[in-house]
Amino acid sequence: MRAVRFVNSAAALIVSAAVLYAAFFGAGPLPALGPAFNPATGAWTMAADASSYGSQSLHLDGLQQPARVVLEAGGTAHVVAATDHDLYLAVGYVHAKFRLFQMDLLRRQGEGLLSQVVGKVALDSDRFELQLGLLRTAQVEWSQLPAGDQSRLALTAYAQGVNDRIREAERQHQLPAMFTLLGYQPEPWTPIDSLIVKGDMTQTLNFTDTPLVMALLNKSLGPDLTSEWFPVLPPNQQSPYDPGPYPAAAAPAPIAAVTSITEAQASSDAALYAKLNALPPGLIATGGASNNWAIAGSRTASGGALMSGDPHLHLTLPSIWFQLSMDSPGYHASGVSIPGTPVVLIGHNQHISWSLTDAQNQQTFFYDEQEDSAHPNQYFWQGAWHRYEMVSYDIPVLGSSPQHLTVKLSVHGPVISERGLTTSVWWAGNIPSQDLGVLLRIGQAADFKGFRDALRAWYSPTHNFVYADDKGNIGLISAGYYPQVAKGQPWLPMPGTGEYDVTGTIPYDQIPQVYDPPSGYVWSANQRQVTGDYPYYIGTASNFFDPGYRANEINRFLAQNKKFTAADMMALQIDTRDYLASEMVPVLLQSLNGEQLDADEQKAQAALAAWDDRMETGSTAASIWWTFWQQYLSATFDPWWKSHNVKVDRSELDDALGQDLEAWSLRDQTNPAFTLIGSAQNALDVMKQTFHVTVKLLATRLGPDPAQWTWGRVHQRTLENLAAVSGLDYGPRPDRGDSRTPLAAPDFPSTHGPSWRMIVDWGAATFSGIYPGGQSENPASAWYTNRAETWWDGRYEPMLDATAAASSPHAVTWSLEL
Amino acid sequence: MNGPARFIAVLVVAVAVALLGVYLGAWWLPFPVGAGAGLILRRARWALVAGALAGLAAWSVPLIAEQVQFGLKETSLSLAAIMGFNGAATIPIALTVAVGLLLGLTGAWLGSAARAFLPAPPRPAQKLSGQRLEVKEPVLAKR
Repeated sequence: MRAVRFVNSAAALIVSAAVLYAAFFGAGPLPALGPAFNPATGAWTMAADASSYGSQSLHLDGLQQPARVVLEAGGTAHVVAATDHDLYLAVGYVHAKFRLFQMDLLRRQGEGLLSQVVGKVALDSDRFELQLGLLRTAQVEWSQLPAGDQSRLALTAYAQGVNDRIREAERQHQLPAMFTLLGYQPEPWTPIDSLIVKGDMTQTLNFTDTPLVMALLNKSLGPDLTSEWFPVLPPNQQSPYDPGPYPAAAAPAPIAAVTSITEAQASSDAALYAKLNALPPGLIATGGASNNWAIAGSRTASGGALMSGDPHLHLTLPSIWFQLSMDSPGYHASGVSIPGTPVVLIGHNQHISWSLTDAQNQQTFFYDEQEDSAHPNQYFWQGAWHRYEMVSYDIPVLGSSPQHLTVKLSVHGPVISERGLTTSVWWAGNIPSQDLGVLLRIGQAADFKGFRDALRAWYSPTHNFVYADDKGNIGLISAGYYPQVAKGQPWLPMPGTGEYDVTGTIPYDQIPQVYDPPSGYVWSANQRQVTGDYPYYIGTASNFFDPGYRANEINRFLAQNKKFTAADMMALQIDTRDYLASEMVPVLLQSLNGEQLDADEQKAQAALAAWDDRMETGSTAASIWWTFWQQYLSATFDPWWKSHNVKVDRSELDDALGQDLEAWSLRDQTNPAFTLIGSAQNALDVMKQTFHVTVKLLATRLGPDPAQWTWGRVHQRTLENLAAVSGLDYGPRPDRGDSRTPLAAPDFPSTHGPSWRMIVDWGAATFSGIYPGGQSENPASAWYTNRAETWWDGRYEPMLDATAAASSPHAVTWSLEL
Repeated sequence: MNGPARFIAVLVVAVAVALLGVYLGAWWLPFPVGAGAGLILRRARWALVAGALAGLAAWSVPLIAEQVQFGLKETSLSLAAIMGFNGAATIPIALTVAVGLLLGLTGAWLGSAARAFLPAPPRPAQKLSGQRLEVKEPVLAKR
């Protein structure tokens, strides 16, 4: 009997311990079950949060006067405050109310603190971020802001608003469920966190590894072929928006011929390239894709200027954007903001509107530091040995001891690789800049002069800022730093001994820009902004600038002799015409003249012949064209990659190689590049062979009936959950477009594209916008995906002001009290 | 207090305390409450029932209340997705209910097992007056 009691007690103890352990600490992939699933205070409270958006009075610490937030039925927020301070505070509160987890992830990414909450899986990302230095830059930026500065006031008030919400959510047990499930509480928000979020965007858009890629190509393909295939100026026909004439400038530094890369350099570059490629997506810029344009009032039906903007970014749920209007005595702006920052990034005020695309010029330069064993922890620069500055970090890691990291800093910037050679990186994003102040001043500008003056202080990332105003004027400025090196080949890693250093930037008055051009329109789509006559180096055609097809298509559309309307702008934003297809398909069809074709091939040929070059989901020709072009690239370049043992993934360079292939196919069909392919001797031969392969491939993949080879079966799009929970994605769904169409939809499935579409008609005083997803990060909320369908269908919502919003159907008001 | 009355009293108190604790964020309270029931109730099976019901009620009532007030379909689907069970909205609910149940049940089991090691309470003195005592003669096997 005693033994039975002991056994029973031991069993009770063991089972209880197991249950309590799982409840307190989780088990395997399960979070701590107790706090996570507690129905009163755990993740289930997302239901209460999703229902908490009704009209109400809220008390916010730090408010100077009562304020209010009007929420439209679709979630767009309109913040109205009696002081600028209260405006920024209220915006902080609103952002945190809807996007606190997203904001926390963004700051953790930039501050190297992801491992603290997700464990070792994020350690590489954290190490890299701390090496690169977003945190150091943000700290310097904050320290440089003088007391009383508008940005300082905005950041401080914004942080207070965020912290008001954090405290409220903790009190009400309504922190976003992901905090509960990951088992941590958000730290108080600081102004530096906001500067980090801005740094994240800069990094995503313009920290590139292109010089490493160029070095590896140079080593494998050889200097001559590399310079021919990956030139500074684009080999294809493009449409720069600023055609010159350019101001007389200091004589441009000559661009030297590409020289050889040593074995040691190539080995070191390969190691660094591999390291950077292993990082999570988004940390390295991989080419941009955004559109914007404006049409002067003289060319529009309404008589006022028209402006369009659609920045193409990773399409996430929640979106990178939060739509709002901000009204205070000193600031009136409506558009989209990035949660974590207290300002409208793209939008309009009472007099001007603006949007932006990435300018794509080179802002990342790699330097091989000269070291030797007699001078430990030193590098040779400008004739003398200098000691590296050292910065130490302890990275907290969930479930493990903190990881120590020492970052070396040379005069060029942080050392990011010591595998083989020691490589440091000069990155414009590491230069402290007060971009937030620029955006605040843009929001307060009333004309082009104010707009242009504000942008003078914009450094990085370089953006094409399009402009239109209520007087019918338009403009475009590619604002930011354009680093110039003293000598050398900046598209390759350069010696760090001083002679090749960045010496300055192109003067602001000489950067690409236009105002009220004779054509009556301006446009940018990441293309090179200037012609070959421009007297400065701004980057190579390969991997810095876009191949130019979207820009060409937009230019073609806007060059029509007609009076444009806002509806035309909307049609162009969702246009799926592939400009490259419009050039190449006729050549392909020409190559097939007289060729023996089987029944399927004849159907494919007929489909292409009748095609309007639009990548619509129901189009079979779109699938044939896309597959053909991929096969054509492969047939032309894969033999070279194989014979030269090129270590860079060819598909990563398809944009650059595609420009070559386009140019050769149209104007140089006997280019020696075609000679490696069996007996083929020219472009038309390769095209014919590729066409046969294409039809067979499609039959294998999509079935024997060519009528079933629709683009929608090949090409889908997904809005991805930010926390990588695939079950909370939207899609995948068949979708139109490709990487070259104005409605950009690269990759399979496509996860990038128009993250916000805005149309402004100053003549009609109408403003329209839409982004995919919804205002709330709470997946249980009706505002998690409520805009996705509208966006997908190419429709827009009116951008109301606060007064109109208050009287719109089902609008609610939050009264913010002291 | 006789057995059933004691059981009901313990059950009511256990449910109330556990429920209040859960509403205040003390999600673990069903465990000590169950343990208390195990220590108080003489019969282990009644203790287990009381602990299980207390845990179940403490974690289910708030869930039911939220369902009534807000609706839990979207939340449940979202949690299922996060857990990797797309579309299986019942799994988070089942898991939640199971956690509450297990906390109360294991607490009661442990309390009940511990009770076996406690010194037996002194038997109450037999009440003679007013009672009719029957004393049976021992039956002898030998006939």
